[in-house]
Amino acid sequence: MKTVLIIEDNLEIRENTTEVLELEGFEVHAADNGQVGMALAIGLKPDIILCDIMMPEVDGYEVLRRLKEDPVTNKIPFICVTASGEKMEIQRAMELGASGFVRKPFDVKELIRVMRKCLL
Amino acid sequence: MEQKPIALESEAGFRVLFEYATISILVISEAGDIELANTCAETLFGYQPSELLGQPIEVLIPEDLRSRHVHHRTHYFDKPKARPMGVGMELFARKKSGEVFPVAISLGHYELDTEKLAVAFVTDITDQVKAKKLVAEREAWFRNMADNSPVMIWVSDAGKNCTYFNNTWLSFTGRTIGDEMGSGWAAGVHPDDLEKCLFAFSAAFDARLSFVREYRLRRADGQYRWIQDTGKPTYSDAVFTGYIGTSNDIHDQRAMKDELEQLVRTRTNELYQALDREKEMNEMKSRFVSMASHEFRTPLSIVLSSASLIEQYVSSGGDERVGRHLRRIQSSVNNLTNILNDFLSIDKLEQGNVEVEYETFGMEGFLKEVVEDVGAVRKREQQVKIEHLGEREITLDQKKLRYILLNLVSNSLKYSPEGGQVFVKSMALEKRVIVSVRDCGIGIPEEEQKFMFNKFFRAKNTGNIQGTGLGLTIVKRYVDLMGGSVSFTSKPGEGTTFMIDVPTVGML
Repeated sequence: MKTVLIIEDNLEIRENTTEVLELEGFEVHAADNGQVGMALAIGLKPDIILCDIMMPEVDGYEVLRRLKEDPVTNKIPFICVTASGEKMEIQRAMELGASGFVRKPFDVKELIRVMRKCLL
Repeated sequence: MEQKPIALESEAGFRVLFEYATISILVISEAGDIELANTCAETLFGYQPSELLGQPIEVLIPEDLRSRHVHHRTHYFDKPKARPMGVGMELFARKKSGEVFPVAISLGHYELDTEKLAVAFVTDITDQVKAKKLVAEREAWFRNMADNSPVMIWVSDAGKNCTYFNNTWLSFTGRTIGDEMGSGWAAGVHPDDLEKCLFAFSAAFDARLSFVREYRLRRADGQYRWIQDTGKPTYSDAVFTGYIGTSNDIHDQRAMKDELEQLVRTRTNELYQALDREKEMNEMKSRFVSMASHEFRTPLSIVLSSASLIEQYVSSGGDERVGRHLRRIQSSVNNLTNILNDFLSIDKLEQGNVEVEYETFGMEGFLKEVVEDVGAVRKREQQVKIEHLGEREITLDQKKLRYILLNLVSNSLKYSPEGGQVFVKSMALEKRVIVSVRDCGIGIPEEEQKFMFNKFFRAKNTGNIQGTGLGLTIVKRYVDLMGGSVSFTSKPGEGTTFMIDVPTVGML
């Protein structure tokens, strides 16, 4: 069973995504802010991370940057989830080492497709 | 009349001098008779040779002056001396014909055998008098003209002293010519302008240049008025004689100009303010669009994922009605997302923040993906047929081309009835790609065809079919950005064919 870490500050999205992925057969862990997310990533070493970009205090870019710097977590595929989808943001995330990009509102099938691709 | 021999006659040299002199010479006895008259005199007065001899001198004097002349003559012989005659007076002589003319006369005298003789040297000054009169007339004419000119005129001599001001000037300043003469005029110049005014005058003067200066001059009523003063050097036979200047009251023009400039400044400011407000509004609109599109996405994500979860939970229960409503929720969310994306796209296009990004891709596979993506819009029995000719791969902005074709194909499906067919034909040539999308839908009313690419425009016959009126606007702008063209032909009730023709880049 693959483990996934969801870092998302919005409660409903966090819970819905958790449910969707559990139904898909993932073992899901979730964090409601960047700080906790990084700690869980290092402690749990999940197979894949889904992270919201726009979060207060520690945002998704910061989480991505720090996890990529840490040898313990830098191999874990990191998928950015964003409400914006501006070209500049995708580019920035890719430069920081993101493996994929999903734009809100995402279709569940689309999300699974992107995740499976990253897990190959 | 008998003539006494005159000693002078014996002196041949004097005779020559006398006869050939170009001035008229008359010798008169104390009795007033003409003793001698030279040829010049005879000619001047119109007499035959020797005809004058022995005649009283008064025959050569206008009748009305004769009696007085007798008196003067007697007086002269009492105290004879060499002198011009009638100093300061105009003298006139009379020809034999009676014609009176102006003369200048000098008198001399000598004695011969106790007889006193007077000599008169007479010059005809008709021409000088005429010339002088002409000069005086011209001067008077000029002064008259100058005084009646609406322009103020002044004249300065070579030493920067003003020697003349016309009446127009004097009535403007309300001062006398005596007040203004020399440098007196400077007293009327506004103290703030005086230095500049004098400097302009002096500098031009020393360089003998023409000048134009503006300064305030006090009018008779005490008001300082703006004057424009033009000065030019004057020469007489190439010798510098001073300056002549003309001055105009330009106060009202200046005030009008100032007022106009003030008005222009005010208007420009207003315009800038309006532009700033417009810019601010635009920024606000942009911020709103980006904020709204961002903020809407979070609840839409929740709706979509919740619907997806419900779908999974009830699928085992198998109520077809639940499934139908879930699909409605999902397609409505997708629809709303597309609208948000269109708003964002148009905003970015309007901000000029859109660039063309080229990549190379296979055209046939690309068209198939487009058709798959419009699957959700397809009504019952609708079909999309693809045909591609020419080069297999093209280099173009794939995302924009995708948007364009998704839009054109989904429009075709939206506005075609159930069972309708849509034909997508593409042809990739060496340097361009042409794609046409043809349907047998409701068509576009002829009178509305010219508005099709306008923002938010929707044709009347679209009825309750959903749409924002932004899709074709974005299509047109994307095609423009890529340097291509988009056109269409349409007949209401028969269908519409859209065609794009876009230049491609050679193989990368």
